[in-house]
Amino acid sequence: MGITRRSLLQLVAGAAAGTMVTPLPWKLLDDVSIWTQNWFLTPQLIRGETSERLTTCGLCGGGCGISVRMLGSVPLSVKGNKDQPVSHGGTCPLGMGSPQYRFHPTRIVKPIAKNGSNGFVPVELKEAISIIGKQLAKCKSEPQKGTVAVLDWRPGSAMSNMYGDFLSQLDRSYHLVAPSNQTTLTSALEVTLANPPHQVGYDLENAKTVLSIGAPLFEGWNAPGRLAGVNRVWSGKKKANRPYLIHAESNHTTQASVSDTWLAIKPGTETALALGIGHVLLSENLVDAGALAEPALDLDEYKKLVDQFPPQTVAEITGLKKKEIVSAAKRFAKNTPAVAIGGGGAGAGPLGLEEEIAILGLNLLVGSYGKPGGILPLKTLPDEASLAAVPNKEGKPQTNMVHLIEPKKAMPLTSLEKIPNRSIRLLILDSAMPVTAIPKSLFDQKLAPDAITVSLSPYLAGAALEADVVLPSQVTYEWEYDVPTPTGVPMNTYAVSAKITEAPPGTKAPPEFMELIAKAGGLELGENAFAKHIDDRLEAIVKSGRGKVFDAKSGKDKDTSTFKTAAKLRKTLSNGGCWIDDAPVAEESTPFRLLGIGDQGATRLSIMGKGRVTTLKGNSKSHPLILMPYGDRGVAGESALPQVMTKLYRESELRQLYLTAHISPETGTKRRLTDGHHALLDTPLGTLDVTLVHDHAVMPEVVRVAVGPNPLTLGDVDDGKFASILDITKVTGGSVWRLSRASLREVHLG
Amino acid sequence: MVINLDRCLGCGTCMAACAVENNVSLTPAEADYRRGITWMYVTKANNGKKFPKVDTVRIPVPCQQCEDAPCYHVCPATAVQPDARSGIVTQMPARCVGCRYCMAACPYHVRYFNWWDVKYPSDKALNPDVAPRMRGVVGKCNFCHGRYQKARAQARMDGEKDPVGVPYVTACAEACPSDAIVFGNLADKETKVAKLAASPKCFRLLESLKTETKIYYYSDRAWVRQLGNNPGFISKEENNG
Repeated sequence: MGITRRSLLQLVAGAAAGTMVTPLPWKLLDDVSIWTQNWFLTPQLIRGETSERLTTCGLCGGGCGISVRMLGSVPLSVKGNKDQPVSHGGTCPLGMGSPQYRFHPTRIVKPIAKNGSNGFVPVELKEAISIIGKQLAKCKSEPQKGTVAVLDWRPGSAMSNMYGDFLSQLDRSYHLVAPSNQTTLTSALEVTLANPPHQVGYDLENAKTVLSIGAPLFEGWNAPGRLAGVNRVWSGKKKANRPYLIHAESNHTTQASVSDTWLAIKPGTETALALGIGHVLLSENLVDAGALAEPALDLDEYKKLVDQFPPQTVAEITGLKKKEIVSAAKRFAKNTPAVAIGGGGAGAGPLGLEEEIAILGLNLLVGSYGKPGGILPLKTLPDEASLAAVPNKEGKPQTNMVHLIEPKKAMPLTSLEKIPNRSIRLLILDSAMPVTAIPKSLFDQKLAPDAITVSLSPYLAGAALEADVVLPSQVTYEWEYDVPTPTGVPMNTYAVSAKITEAPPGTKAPPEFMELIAKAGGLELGENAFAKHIDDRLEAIVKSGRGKVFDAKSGKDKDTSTFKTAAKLRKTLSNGGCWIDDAPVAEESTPFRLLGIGDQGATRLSIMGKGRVTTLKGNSKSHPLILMPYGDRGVAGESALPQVMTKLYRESELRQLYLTAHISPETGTKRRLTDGHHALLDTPLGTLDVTLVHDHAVMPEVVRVAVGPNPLTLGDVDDGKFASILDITKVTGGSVWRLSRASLREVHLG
Repeated sequence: MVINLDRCLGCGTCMAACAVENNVSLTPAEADYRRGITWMYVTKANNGKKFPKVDTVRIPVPCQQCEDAPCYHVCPATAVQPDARSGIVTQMPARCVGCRYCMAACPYHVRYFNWWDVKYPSDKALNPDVAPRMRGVVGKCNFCHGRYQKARAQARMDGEKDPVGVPYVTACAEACPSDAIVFGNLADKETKVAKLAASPKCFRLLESLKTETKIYYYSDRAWVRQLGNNPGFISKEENNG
């Protein structure tokens, strides 16, 4: 009997059926599955013992105490240190993703320079420094054609001191800071108080009423980690013991939703609200006018001004109800300590000077300036000058400190908008910070026609894209630097962000680049100038004996006097510690002017009281909407963000954030702007293509557009430049870009 | 887990912490909320009222760790294994064949398919305690199972024979700067999480489906509690008010 086709087929089918009931195919499937789990396209984990490294995050100057999980010398992840008394364990998503900064697709490890239409090309370090040196020489020889400026993102730090040392050797130079909540508040303090402090802090932990006008406290305002930690502290209290939050803002933001009262004021009417509350405080005798008569040098003029802003008038200006204004004023006056805080968010930028003066005035009226639960003036950080004024125990001056750099000519910090246009011929941009953003027009107009811009940046993103030369700086964790008092903290602090990992070859810490630039320009910074600035500061702290030191390893505070040397203090700070100054002493009442110094105070406040929108240039008929840029989740994101941020900004958003214009459904209906469609957003400065989103949280006739992030900053692409809403926002008064006239018209792409 | 929605600021720190802890892959630029991989994501909701009566809430949504998990019932490869003792619905990528039935079955949309080969900022900076997944398998929150295993291993070294209810904290709860996320042993009535979960102001998502999730959401606001489709949790006063 031969083998037939039928019998062969029967054998094969039988064998196949039989095999299926054996473990063989399933084992093979399992093995293939395991094999593909471990094939070359799936990374192999690097095993090893992990450790925890305590340090301070220095990404934004907020000074959050953190613990970094390390695998050898590689940082893996970050968590907040709950014992750290400044941040209370608060961190932010950028901090969580900070170990990834080193690997950003836009990271550069070699100097690059613009080469005409070819874009950026790599150059040798020597050549890059030579370009800068030549420009520096021109500035020195022809100062009338333009001078040298540094745009400093971190004033008060050792790096800032180094910039000062560099600039002070030039006959003419500018040490600049960008307009911010801090600069505007400082200006307000200077024109209001007879003895303005160099910095103030808000004692939120002890306040019973917090009136935030514009300031998005829990959305990246000032020191984000600290504010999130404050939210934890507040939330942990029983409701009756929690502070009452009143938030005044045009749109229903996260801050508005977590506040007890939200005052939905029309855009640009912060001054009117503050003056209206001032009116109620005085007219209803909620404050002691008699006691105010002495310190308030212009109380009568102030009364005359606020008489123009009774609640009914303010209600019409702001769009609120009269009873809302009166109720807010009464609570502010009676539920004390109360503090009023002004400011804008990361993308919106600061309020104007008039707004800050009016808001500061409320604190002065209720007596919360210089008192616990209010605004606290801070002393300067210990330094040679402050020690010279305070003798040691033997009654001798404390100035004979070794290793101090000879004090150079003091370099005042100037806000960018205050210098003449076209006055900068060499602009050095400090490392770009990921959180803030400013309109490019602010520094473009300050540049001379043949100006060169140098960026000390690890990434080719954000402001670095505007530079002519980019020097590859090291990122956080790759170099050690100091973190002085974060903005808004109610006591001086000093911490160190430690070097915990190695930087790629070719990159340098910003101080090293500054040494090279100084040398190329024939200037002298002294050996190890940056390290010496930190050591000097630590020396001064030790000698002052002020305050206490939080030791992160033990979780306990130690008196400063227990640190005998600066080196010992540095070791503690480099391991997540933090020096905390003595609590500010309550001030005896200091004289003040509620309208600010000068004849025009009342006039300016009166004009702004009618609404900043009335001062905006442009045609309200052709541009009937108000454009309000903002920073989503408190981040403007114009520089690089850790790539894990795509989870927040792309992979979880139902609507893509980049160039999305949020409008209320009422605006959409009225102006025939359909949800999800494309539109052209037009301002007097330009036009952008946006996508429309109907959002109930946006005030009618307002357009909200997030400043960032864009695909480049998220690492989705590694070249190209992306438009920013700040490209078409108007800057008024030199420092306010939170409001612009705008229009939207829907377009249909065909 | 109890998540206090009145404390949540929507900052996204939990999202970032989860992705870093669990070696969640980056995705190409075209990946949006449908194809992105967000084991923890924070969504937003509002009360449906017009401006200025609008109110908003931010809601962190991880895997709800259902007691009666629909995904478990549909998985043909037994890649989903609810652990009866810990309550964690574990996901085993090694068994997953990528059919995505579990994604269709999940009413909370908290399962994520790896559409692309995995990619990280650096392969050298991954969490060594969590195996990366490959393209073609589904992943989801597993209450930081790697941390749970580590805690159990430590308990064994300390002498416990068969540790189950070991204390540990998930990455999201550890990271949350507002302490909005509380994690712990729901079965132990003395724990903070169990006490919070017992509050009448807690609700679970889509409770009418009877999935018996282990994520409780807390809010003082009645309209927020209604989001969970749980009308029974609104008090008479709130109903009449």
